[in-house]
Amino acid sequence: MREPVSPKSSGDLDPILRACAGALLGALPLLYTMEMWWYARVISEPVLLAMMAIAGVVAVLSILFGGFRRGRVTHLGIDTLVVFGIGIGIATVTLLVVGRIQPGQVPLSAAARMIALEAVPCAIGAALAMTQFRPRDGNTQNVDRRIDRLSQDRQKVLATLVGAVFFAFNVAPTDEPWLMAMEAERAHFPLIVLFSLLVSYVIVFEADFAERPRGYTTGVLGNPYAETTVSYMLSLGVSYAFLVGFGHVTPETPIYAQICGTVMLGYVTTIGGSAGRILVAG
Amino acid sequence: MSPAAAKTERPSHLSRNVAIASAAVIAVLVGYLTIEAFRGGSPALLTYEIAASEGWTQDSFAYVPVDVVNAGGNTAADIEVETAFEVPDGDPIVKRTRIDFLAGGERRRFYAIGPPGAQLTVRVIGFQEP
Repeated sequence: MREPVSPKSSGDLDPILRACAGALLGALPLLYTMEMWWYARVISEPVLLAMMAIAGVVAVLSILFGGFRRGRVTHLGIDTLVVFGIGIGIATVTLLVVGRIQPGQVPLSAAARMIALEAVPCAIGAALAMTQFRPRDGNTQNVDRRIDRLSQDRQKVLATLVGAVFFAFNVAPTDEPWLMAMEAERAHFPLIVLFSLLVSYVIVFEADFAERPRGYTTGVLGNPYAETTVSYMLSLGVSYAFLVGFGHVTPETPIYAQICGTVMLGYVTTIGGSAGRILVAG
Repeated sequence: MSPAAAKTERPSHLSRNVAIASAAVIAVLVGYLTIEAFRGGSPALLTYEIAASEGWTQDSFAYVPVDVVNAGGNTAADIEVETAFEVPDGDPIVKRTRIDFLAGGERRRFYAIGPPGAQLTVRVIGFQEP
């Protein structure tokens, strides 16, 4: 049996660099999105802090799913801090380099809000890259996937939420999903619902992305149709929360428009949720 | 590494240092945003400055920099600014410029282009406060 390679101190540089790359790969489109700069200026601080808290939860879940260094739960805390710090760092450097933050023109408060908002997808991208895209050499001896202790149902729910949030962040800030929802014909929305369910089912159960772990078919969500349906409902919930968070939906928005927007963005979050569940299996 | 050794693996100095630096950065950012949240905002207040000394003339056109500043606290959106060059014996040359948004304290520069030597007047037509 092959002896696992002993990690050296400098070996931690690789996951840190991988997290930096993940932050850029995951969030670069949003760093170049005008709506993000705009929302950063108008969004209230409590909402912004709530988004950062959600990103923290998503980062923790990503690390729990992907695995952190075995033995001590402090490793989880350290990795969470690292991915968040990298998210803030990458967002700051990129916004400075591309000129969206210019000392003397953009005040500190606007710069801080832009960095905080852009750091959220950067941190999620960093967390996913650090854990999910590590070299798969079969050496899991020093990896602690503590989330495996949860039931399959709970893992699926959490994975759906992680994936849906990550995908929602890449689309929800833009005006396009709302515009699409407003311009689509009424007949489109039932089709979107059906197609979202179909795509989710095919991605998770037919596309054969990953071997499903033992016990995957246990629990309430053990049935593929139940899993697909419940995950879709969760994805719609994430969609609605993002539409509210980014100001597309307000209490004055008509109910039908709220539903249309949620279903339109729900197509994206459903695919994200499916991707999250594939990671559980992987 | 044996399983027993793996169980007691400690984070490297690099990981610890990056985590400590990250914690400091997060604390500063969250602390600053929290303070800002309690401060409350004042209404947007748009002013302008004509930086005529930084302008230039080229091909019989004068390029005059105009800095629009949001001196208030809240963000202003869809800001519409009108520039007018007074032309002797003729109608003034009027143009409108739209600025998408300006946060409190933010400054944006645009250039008014008109005949050299003509008197430039600027006025803010209106804006939204989202």
